[in-house]
Amino acid sequence: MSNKVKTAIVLGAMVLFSFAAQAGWGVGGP
Amino acid sequence: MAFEVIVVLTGIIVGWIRKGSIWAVPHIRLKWLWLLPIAFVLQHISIHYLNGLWYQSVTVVSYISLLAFCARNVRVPGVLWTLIGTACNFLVMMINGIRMPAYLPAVQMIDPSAVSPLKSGVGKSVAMTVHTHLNFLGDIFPFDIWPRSIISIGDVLFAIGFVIVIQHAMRVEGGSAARVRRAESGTS
Repeated sequence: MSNKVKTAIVLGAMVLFSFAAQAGWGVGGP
Repeated sequence: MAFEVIVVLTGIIVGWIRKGSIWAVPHIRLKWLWLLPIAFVLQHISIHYLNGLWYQSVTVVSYISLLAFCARNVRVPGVLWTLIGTACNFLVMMINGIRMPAYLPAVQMIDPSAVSPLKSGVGKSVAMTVHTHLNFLGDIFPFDIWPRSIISIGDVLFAIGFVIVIQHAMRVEGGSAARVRRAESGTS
């Protein structure tokens, strides 16, 4: 697996982490 | 949503300023990374497709997954902040029927059409009243950048930790490379 793909996977997982952990998205919905 | 995107961009900018590289990110040693997409999908399903006890149960499992990920990686710089922020959000939601109390004047400012649905609960949120608990941990800060949102103290703590995690991840390989270069050049 290339480094770019690994970077995308890790960053993507961290972005999902941010969306799931923070509660601000509830108003109006994601 | 804007808040989350700005947090990620801030982490990347801080990482660049500190001579990090986005391509170093995979070298960060994060355990149980697979828990993150699972937690996100569970929460997306619970918010959009489930009600009642199913909504509550799946949302709790989602947050426990996030907390487990944080606890497993607590030694990584910044993760302790994200753990505390996530725990604050989870605590206030737990005590309010797995919904985050949202401060109505702030909701009125950001999205007036959301005020009415909020009173019966919408998404992860419910209207903040004298009957909701730990209101200071609820969504109380209007974030007035499109698409606008309302954030909590837990969100702010999480954001601080997330910026630290990202800039650390960007510098993992850079730090090693710098040490190698110093060793090769004979300097300390």
